[in-house]
Amino acid sequence: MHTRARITKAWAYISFTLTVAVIAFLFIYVFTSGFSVISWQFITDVPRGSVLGSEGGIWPAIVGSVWFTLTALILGGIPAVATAVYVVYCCRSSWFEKFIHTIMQSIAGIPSIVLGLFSYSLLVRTLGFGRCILSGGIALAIMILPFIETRTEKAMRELPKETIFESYALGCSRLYTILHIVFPAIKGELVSGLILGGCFAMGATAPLIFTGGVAFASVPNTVMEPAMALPLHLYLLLAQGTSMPQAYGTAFVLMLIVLVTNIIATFYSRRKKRRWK
Amino acid sequence: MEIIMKIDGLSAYYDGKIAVDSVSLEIPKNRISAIIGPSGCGKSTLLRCMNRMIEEEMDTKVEGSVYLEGKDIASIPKDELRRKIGMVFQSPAPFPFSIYKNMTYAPKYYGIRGKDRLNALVIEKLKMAGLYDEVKDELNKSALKLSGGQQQRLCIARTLSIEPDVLLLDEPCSALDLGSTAAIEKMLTDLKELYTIVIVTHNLAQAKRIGDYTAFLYNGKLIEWAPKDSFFSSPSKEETKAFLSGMYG
Repeated sequence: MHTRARITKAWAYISFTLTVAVIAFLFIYVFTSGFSVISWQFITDVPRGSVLGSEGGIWPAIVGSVWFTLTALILGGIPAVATAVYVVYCCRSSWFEKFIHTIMQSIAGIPSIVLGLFSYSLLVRTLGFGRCILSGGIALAIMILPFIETRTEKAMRELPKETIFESYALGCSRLYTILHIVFPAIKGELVSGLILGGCFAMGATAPLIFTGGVAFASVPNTVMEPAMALPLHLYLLLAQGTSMPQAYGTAFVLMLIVLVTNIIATFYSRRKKRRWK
Repeated sequence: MEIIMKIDGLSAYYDGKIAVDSVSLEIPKNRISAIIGPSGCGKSTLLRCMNRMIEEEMDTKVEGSVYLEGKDIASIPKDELRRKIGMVFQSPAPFPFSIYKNMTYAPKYYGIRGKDRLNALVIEKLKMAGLYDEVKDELNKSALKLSGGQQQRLCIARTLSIEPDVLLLDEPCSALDLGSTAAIEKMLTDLKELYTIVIVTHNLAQAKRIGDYTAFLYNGKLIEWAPKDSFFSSPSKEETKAFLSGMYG
C-alpha cells in the first residue's frame, strides 16, 4: 500500500510538472520569438509590404477581433443567460430540462469549421448578409453559447434553493427575484463567464474563414463590413509563408490579450465571490 | 369560530407518487393550528399547497381545492395570494443583504416607497418578531452574520413585512436550540391575535404547548382533526393513539 501511494504521488507530481512545463514553454517560446517584432508601430500600423503582412502592423486585425468578439458576446451571451435562467428558474419539467441540456451539449460538440460553413451557407449566401462581422459573429455566438450557458447555470444552481423559494413565498415574481437576488449574487461568475467566452471567441479562426474574416481590410465601421481578425491573420501569415516574425508577433499580441482578460476575469469573480460569502 | 381557509379533497403528487391523499380541513381564524405526523407523512406538502408554493417545484400535481375566505386560491394571482398567506421555512434562509434590506425587499416589490414608511415598517415587524432589541444598532449588518435563531426570527419578521392574514410555518424550530425555540413559541402565541397561524411540527410537545387545534396526518391522509384538548386527552382514532404513545414517529 505504501509503495502504491508513493507511486501515485510521484505520478501526480510528474503530470503536474509536465503540464506546467508545456504551458510555460509555449508562452515563453511565443513571447521570446514574437518580442523582437513588437513595437508601438507594429500594434498601430496597417499591414504593409510587397507580400501584404510581411511588414507593417496589425491594428485592423486587433480592432476586427474586438468587433467579432463583442458581436459574438452580445448575440451569444444574451440567449445563453436567458436559457440558463429558463432552465433553472422557469422550467417545470425535468424532461424538458434534459432536452435543453442535450441540445447545449450538441452545440458544444459541433466542430467550429462546421459552424463557419453553416453561417456561410445560411447567412452569407442564402440571406445575403455577405461576408461581414455579423455573419462571423453569429457563428462565434453559436460556438460560445453553450459555454456561457453552462457556466451561468452552474453559478445559479450553487445558490441555495431556499433563498429563491423564500422570495417566491413572499409573492415576489420570478423576474424581481432574478434581478434582485440571483444576478447580484452571481455577478462575479456571470461577468467572468462572459469574459472567458469572449476569449474563446477571440481565439477562434475556423468560424471566420468563410464568413467575415478577410486577409486585408481597413478598420471596420459597421457590423456589415468584413474585417481582419488576429487568429485568421496569424493563420494566413503562416499558411502563405509570409513572415515568421510577424506571425509570432501576432500570436504574442493575441495571447497577451487573452491572458490579460483571463486574469481580469479570474480576479473579478474571486473578489465578487468573497464579498458574498 | 370563524373559518379563514378551507381545504377540500386536496391531493398532491410528486413524480406521480401521492404525498397528500384527499385531505379536507377547515382552518379557524386567529388560532394556531398545528399539523403533526411522522416524517414523510405529507405535512410540508399540505402546507405548500396552501400558498401554491408546490407549483414552484418540479413534476408536481395537485387535485382538489383550497379556499381562502371563500375564494378558490387557484383563481387568485400568486403574488396576491402569497401576500395574504406568508410562509416560513424549516431552515432560515435570509437574503445575502443587510438586515434592513431583507426587511424592505418584499414591501418594495409591493410598491411601498418612502424612507419613513419603510423605516417604521421595519421597526414594527422586527419588534413583533422579538428581534428588534437585539439588532437595533446594526440594521446594516449582513443578515448572514446573525445566529440561527436570530435568522429564523428575521425570516418571520420578513414574512410579516408583507402583512399577511395567514402565517404558514414549516417546522420553524427544528434547526434551533431550546432558547430560540422558546422565543419563537412565545412570539407565535402573541401573534395569533393578529394572524391565523398554521404550523407544521414533528414535535408533539410543541403542538401541545402552542396549538389550539391539532391535525394528525399519516401516509398523506388526515387521520384526526380536533381542538387540542380533546385531541391529546381523548383521541378517537387508533392511529392517533398509537402515534401519541410513541409507537411511530
